[in-house]
Amino acid sequence: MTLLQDTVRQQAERQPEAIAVVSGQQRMLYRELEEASNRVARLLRLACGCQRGDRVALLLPKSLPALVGMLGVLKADCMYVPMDISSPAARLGKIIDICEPKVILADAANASLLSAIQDGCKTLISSRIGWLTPGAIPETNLESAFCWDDLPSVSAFVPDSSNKAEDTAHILFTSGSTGIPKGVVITHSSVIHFLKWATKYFEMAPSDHISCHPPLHFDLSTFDVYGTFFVGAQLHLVPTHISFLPHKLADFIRRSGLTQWFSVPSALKYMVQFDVVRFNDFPALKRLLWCGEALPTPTLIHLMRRLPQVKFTNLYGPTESTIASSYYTVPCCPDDERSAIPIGRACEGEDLILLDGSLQNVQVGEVGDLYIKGVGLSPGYWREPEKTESVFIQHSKHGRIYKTGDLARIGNDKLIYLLGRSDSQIKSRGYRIELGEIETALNALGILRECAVIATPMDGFEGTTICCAYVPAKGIDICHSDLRQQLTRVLPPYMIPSQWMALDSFPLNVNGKCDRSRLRAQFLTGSRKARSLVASDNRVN
Amino acid sequence: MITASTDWELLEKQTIRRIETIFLEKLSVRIGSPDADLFQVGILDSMTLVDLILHLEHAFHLRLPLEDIELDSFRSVRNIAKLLTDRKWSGIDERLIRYQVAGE
Repeated sequence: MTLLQDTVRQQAERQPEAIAVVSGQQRMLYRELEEASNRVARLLRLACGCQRGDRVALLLPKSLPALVGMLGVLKADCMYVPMDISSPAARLGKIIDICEPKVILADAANASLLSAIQDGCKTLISSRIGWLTPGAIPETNLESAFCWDDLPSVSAFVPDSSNKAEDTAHILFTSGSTGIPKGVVITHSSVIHFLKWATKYFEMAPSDHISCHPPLHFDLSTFDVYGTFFVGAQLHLVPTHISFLPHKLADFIRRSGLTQWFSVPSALKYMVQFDVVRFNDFPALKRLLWCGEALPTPTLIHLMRRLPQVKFTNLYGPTESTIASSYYTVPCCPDDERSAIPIGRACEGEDLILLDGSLQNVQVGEVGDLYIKGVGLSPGYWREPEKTESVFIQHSKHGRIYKTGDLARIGNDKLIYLLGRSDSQIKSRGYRIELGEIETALNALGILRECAVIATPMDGFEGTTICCAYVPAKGIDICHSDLRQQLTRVLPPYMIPSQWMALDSFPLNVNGKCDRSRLRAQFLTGSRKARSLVASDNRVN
Repeated sequence: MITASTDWELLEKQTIRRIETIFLEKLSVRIGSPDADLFQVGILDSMTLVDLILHLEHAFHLRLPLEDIELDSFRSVRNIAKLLTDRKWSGIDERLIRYQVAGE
């Protein structure tokens, strides 16, 4: 197996009538998935003139058509770019301009978003649209190349392919500190290497019911989707709206008979906070995996006590090293709520290296910059050679390594423990956010004299809270809600600050610069006061 | 006792106002219309929803029966107001809501 689409082809031969994907009331068999994606690949070539290496953007929610589209793109020897449909049009337009997709695969529900993207985007006009929803083609200014109803008009037979394992499968965009999102290029081989290790380590089998909780533009979903297809299991798409209500989420896990759950910690913290996981709940569940940020130890303890039959594994790894580079299966329920959960040791074919400022290995127990080496490394950022060279470096002893920006140490147990960041990147609800991107967006509004975006750790289950302190420009009268409103037009919801503070001027430190630590302290005091008020008769512990 | 339907309309209107104030003061969000789709315009996601629930429960002195609530109940300010003034579910004291609304 060399290409990601081979996973489905193999299952379609082995067990054509087995269920591949469950989405609400809909089911799709491996045979259907294989045939529909073959047809999409043919239409991409016939109706859109797609050639090897072309980009195809997906403006689709997590759904059966989106999965068919992803596989179809791969089968046409192209690369897909999953777009975050909850992001504002202005930001999506930037991504379109960067990757210049030949085709956009969209659904009718996102036709208006497509038109909105077109307003501020130079290159979209040269893209053609493939509509992956049945029925009438929505009205837009853009050229429609095909729609779902055209699928039966082309052969369901496997199209020719000349892609190799080292070719790009998809590009995933993440936050960039200068305000421009960065596209992480992911190859077929990086994903396949991870799948080979993970499906074996987690003993995944055709009988598995596997969750797909994250959106498809999120790195984690790559494992859910292709891991499922790799072993011929069932993929259960967790509807986005279900994640809003913890009771529904728990109920979904029960009803779907999930055997594997993989998500960012916030979804788990959410269920624990509302106490919806009963003792010996989720009888089918075997494995619970998380990635993206640390799961607080008290939450872990709560879940391990409630779910004694489940194996708990912490995965770690930035998008640049494909899904995950290290793992730690918690051997037994920790008895101390303050004990740190390590990120563990490197996955097969990967290496985690701790170096000091002069790129020398640090000793056990010392803090170092965390670098990753091995089979998961991305070739770099899409059309960003400088940014690529700044973090993917050639080391005289270790070869090509990626600088994660994380600080870590090796414990006496030989396991790696994460300690924080060496830059201003933060994690909020599992999303990677460059605070610089938010500040750039705020400054671009042209109504502030100064602004500072600060992340503060909150005691509750929200994890990191994004706070914004600002000084309005002279003669400008603006309030928090107006500022917030303007920001939602350029930034995705997860980047919008939730705490605001207007000041006449910023506090300065001894160097005459904005004193961020003082601002942080002010935000913390303010939120603790508010929290204690709300918590007094509430669910928050 | 609240009996006349106009009383209920008044109660709903006042509740809407109170909810809009919570959005503005606690979440820094100005709601354009009580019927605006809070999910579609990106105002609510799973995290702000939690905050909102906590603030609502605090402000109205109640505990929302989350296990029985559909997401649609949070789709607009009007829906939230309907949820809060719903006579169907137990534990909600009409007079208490009225008192809370009046006491803002």
